[in-house]
Amino acid sequence: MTSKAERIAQAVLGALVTPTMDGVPPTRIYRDMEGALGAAELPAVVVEMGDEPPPEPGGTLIGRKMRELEVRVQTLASACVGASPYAVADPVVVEAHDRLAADPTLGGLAFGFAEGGTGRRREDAERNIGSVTKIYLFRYHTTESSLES
Amino acid sequence: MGFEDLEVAATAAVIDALANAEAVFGGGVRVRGIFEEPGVRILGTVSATVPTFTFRRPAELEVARGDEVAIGTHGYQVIAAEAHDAGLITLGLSA
Repeated sequence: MTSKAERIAQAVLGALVTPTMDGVPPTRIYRDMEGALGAAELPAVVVEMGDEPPPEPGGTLIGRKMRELEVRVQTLASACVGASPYAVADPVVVEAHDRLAADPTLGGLAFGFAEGGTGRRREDAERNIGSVTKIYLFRYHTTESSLES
Repeated sequence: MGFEDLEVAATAAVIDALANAEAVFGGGVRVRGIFEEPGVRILGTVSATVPTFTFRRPAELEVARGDEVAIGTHGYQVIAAEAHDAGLITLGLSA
């Protein structure tokens, strides 16, 4: 028994892992990651499931509920003195977005996605470390009585 | 001895007693000071260290952002230089 939301999150991860991205190997793409990465293990991508607002009636899709899942794709990168980690992260952000945009339905699981906001944060440490988080809002539907189909 | 002189002397004694590393700056200037490298969690998901070096700056030494400094076998670049009272300076370092 697997909810459609969970399958969407798995599909997002799968789209980023296979085939291998140019900017990040599959071993550095994480799902709802626990713990922490080392600064030497960057760049990396973390896919996080977010919240879902209350479902809506299906409208013309009688007997269905419209749902929306927030998926956050965080790209982490480090740069040396004088360089921007955002610039290092940027090719990965673009590549990840292109992967999702190539099939926004995730193989028919969702109607597609709307882009949410993009967050950027940076902190000084042994390296200049930054994070770019893009939010994707996947709309999908289920029957009124199920989270699975 | 005025208080300010006492403060400088006390600070110098503390730094000399606590110094745990020698930094070698460009030009070969060598200074002993306190090297710290605490671990921190950055951005919620990255474990990193924040190296700093605190010392009494000799008159012949000028330090600026971007300067290179060697501490032990590691080379660093200065990303911040914060002056304190009593002639102390703390350098933020990037590996």
